Amino acid sequence: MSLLQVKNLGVSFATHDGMVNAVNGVNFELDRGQTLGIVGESGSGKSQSVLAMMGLLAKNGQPSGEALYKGKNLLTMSAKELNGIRGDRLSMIFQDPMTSLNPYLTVERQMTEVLELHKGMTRKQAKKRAIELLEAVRIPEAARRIDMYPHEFSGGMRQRVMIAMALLCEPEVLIADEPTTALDVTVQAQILTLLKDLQRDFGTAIVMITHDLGVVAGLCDNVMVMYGGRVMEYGTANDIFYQPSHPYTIGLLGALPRLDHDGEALMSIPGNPPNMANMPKGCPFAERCEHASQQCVDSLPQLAVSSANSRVLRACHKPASELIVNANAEVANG
Amino acid sequence: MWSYVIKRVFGAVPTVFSVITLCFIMLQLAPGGPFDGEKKIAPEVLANLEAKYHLNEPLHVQFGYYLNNLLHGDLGASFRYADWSVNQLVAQALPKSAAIGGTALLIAIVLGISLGVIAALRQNSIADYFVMFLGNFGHAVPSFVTGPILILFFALWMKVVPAGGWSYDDPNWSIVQFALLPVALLTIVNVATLGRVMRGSLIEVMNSNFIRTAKAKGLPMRVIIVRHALRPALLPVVTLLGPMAVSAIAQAVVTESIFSIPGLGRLLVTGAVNRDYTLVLGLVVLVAVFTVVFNLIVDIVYAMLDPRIRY
Repeated sequence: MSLLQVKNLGVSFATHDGMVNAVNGVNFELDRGQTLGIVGESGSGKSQSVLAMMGLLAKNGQPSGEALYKGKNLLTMSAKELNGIRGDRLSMIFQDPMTSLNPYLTVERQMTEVLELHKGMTRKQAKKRAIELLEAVRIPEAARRIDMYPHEFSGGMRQRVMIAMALLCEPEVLIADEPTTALDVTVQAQILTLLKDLQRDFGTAIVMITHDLGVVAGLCDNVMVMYGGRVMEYGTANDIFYQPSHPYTIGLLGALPRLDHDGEALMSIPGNPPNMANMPKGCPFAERCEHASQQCVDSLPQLAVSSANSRVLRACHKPASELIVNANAEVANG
Repeated sequence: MWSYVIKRVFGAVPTVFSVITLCFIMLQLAPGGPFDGEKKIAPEVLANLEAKYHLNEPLHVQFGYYLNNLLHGDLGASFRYADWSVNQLVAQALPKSAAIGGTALLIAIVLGISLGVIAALRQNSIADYFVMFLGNFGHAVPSFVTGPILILFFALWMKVVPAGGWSYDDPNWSIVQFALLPVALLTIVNVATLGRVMRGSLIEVMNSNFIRTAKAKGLPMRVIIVRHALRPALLPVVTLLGPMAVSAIAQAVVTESIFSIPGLGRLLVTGAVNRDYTLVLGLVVLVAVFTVVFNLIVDIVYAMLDPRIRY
């Protein structure tokens, strides 16, 4: 049995414009020590998928499907049962370290409360353990700085504190929701290296949400590309990177800034993501897709094993072989 | 911290001075004088009176006299009550106002914060609507309407409290009964404000990112609210308390007038009606000093609540 098994996960929100389906039919499995990358633009539903698993959806949000942690459905369990798992076996790092720590409490208080709660430690034991973790995420003078307030730390240091806090109970699954987005590029690299090292040391499985494909390439075993609340392509990081077979993935990779292309304008995918309240009945990407046909506008492509590569799942009406050739040609021409 | 307090106290001197100067000038500009009345006073007597209180001297000299007395803690003599100094009048009125205003404020703080928290946590429930109704009612209906209604109901119909006044040796009513309605009226007004602000700020805090983090840690709701949410949510409430304390204690003009309580608020009204320059001026100085002191307390409490504020 997989550590984490997500089956047909959906999230819908009751809004003034009616029900909005932010996430539809997300499936994945995660085993110990593995890393899954979830990639997509803002509003593609990647954050909402994991917030649903953690029971952190906004009040008007409603999850559907199943998210099984060791066979138990996180979406339907009681608040008490869920509180026994989240923060302990399943923990999360958020996008914005500047606002995700409580500015009114010392780092020590915010860290020790986790250990007091889940491990039944005394405050003193918990503090000792918290200092160890702060040292593990390479915060200098951890023993002194633990008594400081979050505002006395820089952005990168705060994210380290967040990571240390998430790892306190040695969770089996760590969900990282764009952990590097709010940080400087140099700090980003440090944080990613840190996550990789920690995964090696603790054997934690990671779900990494990002819109930065560079992050995915360096860290992930598997990649899920999301668009308009749906999974567009799913496969190993290598397959997705070197043989993308979905027009959206190809577009995303093409939009990566590259050092060897100087002087040219940055590539972008024309158009905007669809309005979630008013989704097209066909492929959500059809409007922006250069390969779109009438079929794409009329019917929704199902996620299915790629005809070109059995390790890849893709949701596209176009045969994979046509697109892979095109992608390679683009790289060759570029 | 102490250097900050001292700095603030000295910083308040120009503020208080400006208030005194402005009020002094404005009172002089107002038509009529302290000895105008139905009954004409003989010109010689008037001249003597004016000489006694230095009213025949130029304005700046009068102001000088006043400031000099003030520095010695003397608010001057009352123009109207010849045997009384303003100090004595204030000393008589202040304890009553402080007792009523202070009690009302304490009740309002406890009640307002509790109701605000309940309303915020049960957003859009019946409890919330009830609190919001109470809040809007207390806010929208002025106390000169609520006050007489309270008197009508509890004093005239139910006869459980006196309709007004203030006496320690009344054969029929105890002092608590005298205080009941005025305290209730002042409480209603302040509970309304505090409850609404507390509700709004707690709702905002509960939607913030660090509360989401606390939930992700698996903390039970009780711990999240008490440890993580309450302190930041209290900040806007604390800000309100400074001006609220001043108006509840030193400026309960309407309440004290309705219930005929010889407190500071009523003293201010009678002083203004009587053109009792020194009395009005003295009370204004008192309010100015109160305002400065309470705001200083608020700032100190603020720094205790929010670690990012350092003085």
